[in-house]
Amino acid sequence: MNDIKNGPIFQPGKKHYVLCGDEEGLNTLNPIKQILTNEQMSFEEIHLILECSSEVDRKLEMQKIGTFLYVAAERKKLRKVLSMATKLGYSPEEAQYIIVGKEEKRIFCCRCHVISSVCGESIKRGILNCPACSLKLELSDHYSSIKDAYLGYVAEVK
Amino acid sequence: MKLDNRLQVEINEIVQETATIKRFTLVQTNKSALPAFSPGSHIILFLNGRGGELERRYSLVGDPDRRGNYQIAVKLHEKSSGGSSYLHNKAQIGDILQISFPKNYFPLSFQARHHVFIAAGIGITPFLSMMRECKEQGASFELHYSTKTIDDCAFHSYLKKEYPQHTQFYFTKQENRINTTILLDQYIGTHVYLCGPAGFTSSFSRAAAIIGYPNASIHYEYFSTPTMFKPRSFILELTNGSFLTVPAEKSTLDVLLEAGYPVPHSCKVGHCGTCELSILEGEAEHNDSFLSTKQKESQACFLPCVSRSKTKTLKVDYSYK
Repeated sequence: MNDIKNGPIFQPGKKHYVLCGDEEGLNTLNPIKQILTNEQMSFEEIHLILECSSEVDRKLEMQKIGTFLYVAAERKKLRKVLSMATKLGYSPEEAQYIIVGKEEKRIFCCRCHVISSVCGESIKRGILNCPACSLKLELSDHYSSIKDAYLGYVAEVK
Repeated sequence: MKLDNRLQVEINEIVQETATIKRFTLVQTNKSALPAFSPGSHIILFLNGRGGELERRYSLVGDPDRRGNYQIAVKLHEKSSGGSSYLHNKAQIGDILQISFPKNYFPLSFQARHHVFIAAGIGITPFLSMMRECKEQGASFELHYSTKTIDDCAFHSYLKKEYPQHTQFYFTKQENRINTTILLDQYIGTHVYLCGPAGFTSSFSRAAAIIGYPNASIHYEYFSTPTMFKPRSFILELTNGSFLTVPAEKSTLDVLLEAGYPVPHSCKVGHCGTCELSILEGEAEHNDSFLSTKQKESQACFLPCVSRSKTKTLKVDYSYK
């Protein structure tokens, strides 16, 4: 997910802030919460674990122009919130998405179109075999928001 | 009839909408259907003026589904340099005119959750087709329309009939002045569209940015080159070794075209980016609404249709033959 950052960056000058995340995600957002508390700025928290998804959607929907949204959560939860926020019209200037937990990337096989997941060392190496067709794939930086996956190029021409 | 990428049309009807606004219906001289257009589109009208050919841009106010004619609404400007004065005082039914194919630099956003249209005076024109589209698509929208008095308010009865729940009128001489508070309290996902005099558009655009609207959610339309504060003359140096003087009263693009250097161009108001040229030396004074703030700061390129030079000489990469 190209929009996703490794850590939150404070965006000053907004009218209201929304901190949204799972337990680990909200911990990641603590430095932001600290700044907002110290500066006595308006903010609210959305707990992805404690609140049902329709309530989360409703809270995102009711935000006014001038609000800044931070979302920090593990990949699947983050993807769900990002998708809803995008549908509601949140632009990259109005939100930051932070992934927490184990780094994982989805890779789209250019030959058989099966999407598989890679994590840890495989991401660093950038090379893996497609589990469906065994083609050796190179992880590209070409991300598809529709597939939520990176394109895997042919790594070896025999 | 297609003529040098132009269409030849005939004035079919003229309707006096207000004391200073006339609506013209144009049909092709060969009576065939006109090219389709999207909401927010405009055409360029090519008119013969004292100093040569004049180009004037007018929004298409008619129904995009009715391909038999185009409709434009024209305000008579007090300081008309020929365009509106000709159309108001000389143009008659049956006159033949040349127009461009429709162009759209003011489209509706596909991502908006809610559209807020803000018009002053003749700035209402692009919103007529845009609101028609919103209503057809069931999209959420509102219109804020400011004129001096109700008599100056073109399409007043039409708007009251078609969009009674969506339209708010403001008549400045009746102490009902439009202000930027209408931008407050809108939900995220709202896009704002501005059309009117340059001062009106820029004050609403500034207010929207301060409130927190992302740049991509603020849309505006200029029909003439944005007003610049005392433009100065400068020397334009080309990579082929030529030097051209750009006088204060002419655009950089016009100087290049007049000197026989073809530069691809389209909108001529700093909106489309077609005429972009790379800067090799010097700094440009950017007056366009196309390049991002970062691109402007980098001084790597500029748009000669509206932008000029901060330095005495501006060297550009001119590679067209």
